[in-house]
Amino acid sequence: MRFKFYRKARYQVFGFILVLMLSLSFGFRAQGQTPVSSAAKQVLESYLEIVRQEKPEFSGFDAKSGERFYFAEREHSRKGDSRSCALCHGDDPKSIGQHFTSGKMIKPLAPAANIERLTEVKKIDKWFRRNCKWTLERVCSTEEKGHFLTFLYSF
Amino acid sequence: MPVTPTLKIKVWDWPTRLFHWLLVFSVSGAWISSFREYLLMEHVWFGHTVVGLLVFRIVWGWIGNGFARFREFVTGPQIVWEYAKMRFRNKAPRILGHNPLSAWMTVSLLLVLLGITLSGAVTLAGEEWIGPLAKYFSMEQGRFAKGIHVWLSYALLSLVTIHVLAAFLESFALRENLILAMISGFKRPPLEVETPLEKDKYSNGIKSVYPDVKLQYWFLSGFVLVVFALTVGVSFDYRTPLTQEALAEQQSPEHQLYMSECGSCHFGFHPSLLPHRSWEKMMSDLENHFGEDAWLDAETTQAILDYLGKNDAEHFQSEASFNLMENVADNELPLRITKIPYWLMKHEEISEQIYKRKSVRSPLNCGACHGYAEYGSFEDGHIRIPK
Ligand code: HEC
Ligand code: HEC
Ligand code: HEC
Repeated sequence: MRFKFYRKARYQVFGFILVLMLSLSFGFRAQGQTPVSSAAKQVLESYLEIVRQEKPEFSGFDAKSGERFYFAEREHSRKGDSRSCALCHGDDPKSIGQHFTSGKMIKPLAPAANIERLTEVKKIDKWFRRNCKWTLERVCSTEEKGHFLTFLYSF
Repeated sequence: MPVTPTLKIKVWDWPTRLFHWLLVFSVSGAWISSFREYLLMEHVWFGHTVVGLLVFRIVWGWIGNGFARFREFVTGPQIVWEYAKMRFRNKAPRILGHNPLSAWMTVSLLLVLLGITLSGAVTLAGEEWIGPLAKYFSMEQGRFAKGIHVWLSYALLSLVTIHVLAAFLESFALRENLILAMISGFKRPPLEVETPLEKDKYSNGIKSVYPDVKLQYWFLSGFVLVVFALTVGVSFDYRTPLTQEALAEQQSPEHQLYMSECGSCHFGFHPSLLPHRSWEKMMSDLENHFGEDAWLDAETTQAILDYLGKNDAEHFQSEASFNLMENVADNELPLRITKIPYWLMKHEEISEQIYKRKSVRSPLNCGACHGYAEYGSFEDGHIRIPK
């Protein structure tokens, strides 16, 4: 008898409110936008400036183009395999990726899942340089990089 | 109820007996496994079991059956002294449960074991950098704890010797097999011995104790559940991300820099796995690094080269580096660890199938199979090929 306290109405009401509050707080958590780090802000502003110099009518970076760029596959001219950013960073930038050749786990790329991401200008530059070269055999254009970062912040 | 001499009395309840023999098992296991470095994880496993048993015994000392309760058998120094004097003159009354001397043996065994397990946990965290506590203890604290751990273990060994000897001697003196009693739980009923000592305390002062059976039941099942959850859910494998992070924090800034720059694309290879000339060559052309661009600015490159120079195969001599370098001639310039003959020989039995697993993916993923590869340790005891 003593252990059936949950049968009582007031405990049921209490439990209901608890579950409601928990689910609400989860809902709000998912809704909240990840704040753009100062490093990423700085990078994005400078990218926008560069792109506007060439295309004054440019309206701004958008996540959709970034997403397309993220998944775009390209065949390597010498190796012949098809490569994309998603190959290492995974189909979902919010979850853990795996390095294609070494098998090393890569922490999520989206700042929503990994607050350490995109917080250092030098680091962002370094990895764009390396990964674009490996994936596309060229540097990424400023426009591509801007779309890409905007895409990462869209989670 | 009048007791007739043929009647047997249940002295040790089953949880106490089980506790006793499991403790014998795990302390022996911990002792034997302490002789070999590579049995560290087994040693720790036995240690954990001891901790669980201690927790059980301490709670059981309050809620257990009469003979198991501390309050029923632990006595003050005066009574112990009186009893000891009588015992050595062979005039002491026979006592069913713990006599005042063996009571203190029990308590000291428990206390010493508590000290051993605590200092063991600190040693593991501070000196070996293993476990969730690794974050909180420094190397010096670990060393200090190890000293305590070792000396307490000697103390335990002496106590155990006395305990076992006493059990045998008492068995002969009382003409009752005490070891068997700890297996069956039964003892002869007390003879009516008149003693000058407090009769209630010594003959069978248990009549006032009525254990709360329901409470015992809840505690036992809860305890079993928690232990089960811990062994299955948490798993005592220390290679958890938590441990790794705790370890990383303990490392020098140079090591952290190396790991963050050279451990981002692949597993961070320990510097001791290649000779100095190899690292120098590799660091001089990071832009063409095995088909990838691993470019770093000059300052970072120099800092990493300095770190490598202090920990390379010439400086950080471990079993692994010694074996790897043994058949590498001085004029050779190995760039791949995985092309060194010793490495190839040791890994030739690993099939393609294993490398296809998502958890491994590549021979470069040393850490997937070697628990402490990051620290340059490739001990057999820590090898586990993941599923
Ligand atoms: C061969 C595997 C691989 C591919 C393909 C790849 N990356 Fe990466 N990327 C990495 C690794 C490894 C890191 C560093 C991970 C870390 O620091 O934990 C990284 C980090 C980054 C970062 C740095 C984020 C930060 O922490 O500031 C950016 C930006 C990035 N990648 C962009 C891209 C883009 C754009 C592409 C596609 C053109 C791409 N990556 C393709 C492996 C890859
Ligand atoms: C941009 C990614 C990247 C970075 C950064 C990087 N590496 Fe590599 N490394 C690779 C790749 C890719 C390979 C070859 C993998 C393969 O072919 O299996 C490799 C291979 C190696 C090997 C040979 C492993 C073997 O035994 O086969 C060593 C040693 C090595 N790297 C050391 C370093 C050091 C030291 C640094 C830091 C200065 C570093 N790497 C940084 C991508 C990287
Ligand atoms: C797929 C799992 C796996 C991977 C990945 C792996 N190893 Fe091993 N390694 C083993 C096994 C299994 C053994 C034991 C072989 C034996 O004893 O015959 C071993 C043995 C060794 C030994 C010898 C240990 C001793 O007792 O002398 C060394 C050194 C070693 N590995 C280094 C490395 C390095 C360095 C890497 C990464 C470049 C690596 N291993 C990657 C599974 C692996």
